[in-house]
Amino acid sequence: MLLIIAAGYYFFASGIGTSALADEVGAAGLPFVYSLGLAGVALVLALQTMLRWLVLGAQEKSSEDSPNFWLMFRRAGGILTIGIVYLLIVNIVGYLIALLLVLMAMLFYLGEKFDRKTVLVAFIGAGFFWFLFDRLLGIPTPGIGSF
Amino acid sequence: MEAISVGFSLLISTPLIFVAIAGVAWGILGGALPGISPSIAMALLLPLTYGMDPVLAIVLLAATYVGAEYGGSIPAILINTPGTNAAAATVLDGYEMQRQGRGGEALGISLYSGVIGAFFGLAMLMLLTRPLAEVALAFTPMAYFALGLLGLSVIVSLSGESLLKGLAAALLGLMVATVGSDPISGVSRFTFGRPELLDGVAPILVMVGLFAVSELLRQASVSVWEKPKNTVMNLKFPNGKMRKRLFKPQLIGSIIGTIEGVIPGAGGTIAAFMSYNEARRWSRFKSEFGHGSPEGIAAPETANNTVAATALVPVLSFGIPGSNSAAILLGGLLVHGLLPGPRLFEENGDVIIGLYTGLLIAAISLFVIGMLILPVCLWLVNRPRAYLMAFIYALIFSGIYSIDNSLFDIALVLGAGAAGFLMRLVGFPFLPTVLGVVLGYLVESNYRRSLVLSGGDHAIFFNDPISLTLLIVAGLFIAGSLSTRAWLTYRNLQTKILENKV
Repeated sequence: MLLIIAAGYYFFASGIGTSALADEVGAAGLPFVYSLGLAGVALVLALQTMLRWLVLGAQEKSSEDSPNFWLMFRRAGGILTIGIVYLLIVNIVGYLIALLLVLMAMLFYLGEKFDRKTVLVAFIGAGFFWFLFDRLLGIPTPGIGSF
Repeated sequence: MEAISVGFSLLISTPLIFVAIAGVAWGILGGALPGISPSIAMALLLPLTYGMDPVLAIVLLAATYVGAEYGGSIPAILINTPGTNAAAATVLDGYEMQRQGRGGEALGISLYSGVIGAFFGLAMLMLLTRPLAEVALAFTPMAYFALGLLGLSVIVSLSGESLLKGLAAALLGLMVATVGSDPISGVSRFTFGRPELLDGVAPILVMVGLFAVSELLRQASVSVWEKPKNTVMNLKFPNGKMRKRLFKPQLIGSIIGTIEGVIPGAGGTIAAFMSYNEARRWSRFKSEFGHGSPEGIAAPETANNTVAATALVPVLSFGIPGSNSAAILLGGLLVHGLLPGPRLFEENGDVIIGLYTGLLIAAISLFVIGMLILPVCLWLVNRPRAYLMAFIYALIFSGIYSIDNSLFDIALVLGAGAAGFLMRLVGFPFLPTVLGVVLGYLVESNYRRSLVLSGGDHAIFFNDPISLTLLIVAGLFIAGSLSTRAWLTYRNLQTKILENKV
């Protein structure tokens, strides 16, 4: 993974334009150093991991298998999805309604019942944030249909 | 004596006390909301100050700065979200204490240390403005580069179990810091045609993503939520024994905060991390750091609150703003026809005395307002898990949007959160990444400026006395941390061998 990041970063660093104002190091100078540094560290880490597998492979395998990573990813992915949906709808329905939907979605996703109390808390929360940021602090939050 | 009488007459003849208290309260609110940085909190007040008396206007802005620097620690401790960049170091042990049900104690220590830092910083500002100002002027690009390296040297001791993973994490942070316009030529790098990236990625976005969003993802990913046991709901101030223990880290934080504060551009973040690192180095309870150490809160909190006052030294002495907040304060001075420099002290002595008096009131009111609002904050974070997580998510969306009115920033925070979640799973430490993001620009821009000055000769870094000193100190830090690591590894290995024999 780190090697892929280093390679990708190096690839984009090689596409950095040059300027008549450029110094000796250049705009791409340190990015090249960083990508090569990361690639070097990634290789040593990979080597270290391989050696550990060779020496302690059987012992560590059982402990590594214990957490269900896919289940963890799926649960965390739900939270991220709520965030992405917020980004997609906030300019359509406006900040207040989008935030209300986020609060309700989060509450239900995390196991709260769909009852009057939950809905009321979401309404109060969205109203509080709207008042604080939009009214009190004067932040121009997205309105309905502001895309 | 005359200054004291002028200050006293300002207190009784003007609403200076109320203005200072209002500034601190507003600052704490701004600092506690992720995304509303001290500079934004101050900028929001700037239009109000146009019609005000110059003394009151400057006090309002300065008190807001003091309040905001402290306010950043509240969400850092309670919800793992640094309200300001400088509060990132407080997260390390503050949130750990909160997880252990010691949130009230952590908040008490941060308030106590913050107030000490505010008083110490004010004393330094009053007593040492002129000599400290000379230090600020002596800093060359080479010295800034060396200062950045000194900050990065902390990575060696913040890398957790694997130094290699820490290095990789730091390199990732340095890579993020290269996004945006090149500091020398202005060529855009890694922006992929997005104008939002031309100014780079703000460190606060990376911090909120790595700390707060990834924590939300982690909590959502486990079926059973670890609810803190024996949660203390009351604010708990350190007792005599604890105060004695906190003295050393507070002293370290005060000294580092004073030095970093007067250097334009260094700022509270480097001061906080360096103080944390030094407090750990000199502590008798090293193993507690990272697992809920009171000293791990005291050192960075004292440092960043000291910086809030000493950062005014270059502003008042030379009109050099070392940070966005200082730039806004400078704007406040200029709006009222007050030109910073030595003549400011001679021609507008009443403004300076008023500022000092206002900062004194701000330091006192920091304590009073903190005592009033912190129990409420404690109650709020002890609500049921689903409610707490939903509200934190909503707060992140709202706070991050308010930085630049940009939804793209929220997308970046979500991306950083996902990256942070992956880093948690594979055991990569966050802090080196944060340091890389914070210091990357400082290191690169000053490294290249220095080479432009020297015509490409690296010897310039060793010819500048401040740069040389800082490089030697950084080298010693790294050597010390590496030897401590090596010794700990050797000891652990010995223990394992002994256990296997038994």
